[in-house]
Amino acid sequence: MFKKVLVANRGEIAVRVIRTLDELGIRSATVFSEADRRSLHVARADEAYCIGPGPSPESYLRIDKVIDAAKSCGADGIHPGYGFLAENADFARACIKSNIKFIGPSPEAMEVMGNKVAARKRMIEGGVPCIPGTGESVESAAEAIPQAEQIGFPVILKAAAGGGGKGMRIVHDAASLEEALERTRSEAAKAFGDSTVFLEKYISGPRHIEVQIMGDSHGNVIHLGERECSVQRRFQKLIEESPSPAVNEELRKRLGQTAVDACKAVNYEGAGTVEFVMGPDQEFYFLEMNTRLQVEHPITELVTGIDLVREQVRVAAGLPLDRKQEDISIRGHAMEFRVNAEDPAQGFLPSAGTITAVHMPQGPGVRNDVGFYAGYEVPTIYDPLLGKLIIWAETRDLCLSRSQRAIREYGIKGLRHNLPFHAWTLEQKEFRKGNYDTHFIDDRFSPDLLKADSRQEDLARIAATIRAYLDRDRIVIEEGMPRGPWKWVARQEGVRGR
Amino acid sequence: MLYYTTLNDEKKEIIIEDRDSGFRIKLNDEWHDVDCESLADGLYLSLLIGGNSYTVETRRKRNSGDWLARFEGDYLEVAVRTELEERAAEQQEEEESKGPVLLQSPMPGVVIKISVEVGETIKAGQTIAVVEAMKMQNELSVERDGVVSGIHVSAGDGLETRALIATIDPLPE
Repeated sequence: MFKKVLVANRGEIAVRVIRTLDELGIRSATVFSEADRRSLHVARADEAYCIGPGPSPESYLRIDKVIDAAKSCGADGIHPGYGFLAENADFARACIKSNIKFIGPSPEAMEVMGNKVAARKRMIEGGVPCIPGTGESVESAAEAIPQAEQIGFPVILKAAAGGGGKGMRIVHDAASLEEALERTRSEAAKAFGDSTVFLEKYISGPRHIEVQIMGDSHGNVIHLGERECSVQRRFQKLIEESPSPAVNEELRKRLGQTAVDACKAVNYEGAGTVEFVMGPDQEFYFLEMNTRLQVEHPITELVTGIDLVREQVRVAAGLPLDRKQEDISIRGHAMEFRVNAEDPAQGFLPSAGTITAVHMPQGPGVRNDVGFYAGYEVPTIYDPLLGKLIIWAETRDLCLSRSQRAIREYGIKGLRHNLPFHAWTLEQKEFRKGNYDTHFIDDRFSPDLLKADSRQEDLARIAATIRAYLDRDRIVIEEGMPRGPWKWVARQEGVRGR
Repeated sequence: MLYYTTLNDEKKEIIIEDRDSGFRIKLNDEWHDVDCESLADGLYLSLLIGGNSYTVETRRKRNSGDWLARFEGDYLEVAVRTELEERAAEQQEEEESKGPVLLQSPMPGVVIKISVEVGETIKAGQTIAVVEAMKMQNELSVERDGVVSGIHVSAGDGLETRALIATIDPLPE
């Protein structure tokens, strides 16, 4: 087993991984940028090393700096979390070269699965169903238009190196293909350093269903059921649940077996996720594989009772999986709500600022994986995910009402967040029935729908008036006025004339 | 004390008076006894009204005198003004509607694209600029029709919060 593992990430996922290391009795080290000295993962780890300025290309994405930190602190393993270097084969190779175990799959498996064009080829060879498409890079409109017409519009353009919803665009007709292709290619070049884009049939009414798999170095691969991730806004997942309301036991077996086959095709080791798109006819196609832990992994943990990070660490240490497929059972229902610093009332505009007070929901079936605390200034240079609210209950219906209850309890002061959006979604009939696809939010949500009822409005008026009334004697401190707390009190008292 | 509260453009009068443990509040022609405690470092106001318990998240809106209050839903913006403040605000609003609208960056970020030109007539809600922040591209617009009279930044520029991006004059009469 490892003696010390370096967590090469930040935010809620770094905190999450550190927790399991702590439980396993493994010393944890982490890295941080100059913008993250006050971030929670630095405080939670046993050791922490600064690796450069805030922008991630100068710190979290610097393979040399991360490896140097791991070597100099004597770590024998590196956990990459998700994002940053988690799916970077060069990084995995650099770890091997430095004799540090990369907690994840082999660089070869990452390379095949990380490139959508290569992955697709390998999947078709392995008999895994794939969406009709070019399967190869398209470079010009002249080349793309006849191919798109053959497949049939609408089509979708995807960056080969993209993921997590970045670098994709739906195109409805030949006229708009040229501009869309240009933009997708330039975004891909900028975001991933690779402008390769391919084109495929766009499935309408699609559900995004993914299967969690776990493989060991002894050739065993099992699946841990599926996650339904169709509540997305512009391809960014916002709510995930497991099991999927659209998957029955028979379909789960087929999905799971297909995912296991996909992993065996690349000798997969560690935790991974095979993503499928499924049409209303329950036909499913391989979308891509994420060769890492997912943001939404906790819902699988809650319904299977398995700590996925613990399994990752065990498998990376060379141990065989301690469970067989028949030992895995799905119990109850889990949902995850991504808590983002985004304002749903203003087109999900990012909201920067300091979190001045927090009240986290508690009680039965409530889990909070977060990277913030009261007094934390959210850096604007990283993504807006603050944390995740994860709910478990015995049935989907109970999970819905428990989620509503927990969101009512949740308070974050200091910046705008998307909890009001989650509250709205939980009230929607289609969502409650489990009857939704990936267009659900883009088609149905509009900021106007967050409008309050008159009871909420009256309470808001009363609360605001009380605050204003209590604050009525307080003077606004302008530039050049006394700032110390004692002088402040003195002035207030003076104004009151007491 | 009399206050004018404005929420979603609807104005209501509220009278608030001190009581032993809280306030007497008149809203919608009805008096309510409101027992009130501030909880969790001011995150919540816990209100007891006629035996019902409500926990309302409140805070002052940044760079504004208005309040934000949230009860089982989204934040609601409430302007709370005394009679004098209300008259001053009305006057200011009238003057502002004749003057230009300033598009300011709502967060620190980088200008990706300016989508309009000086002299162009624009509609309310039309994208004026695309600004990248937190790895997301955000389309910025203003809430009034008008004519672009000034563009103060260009693609690639870094922006601080409230940096001036564009000036929009009202449509000519």
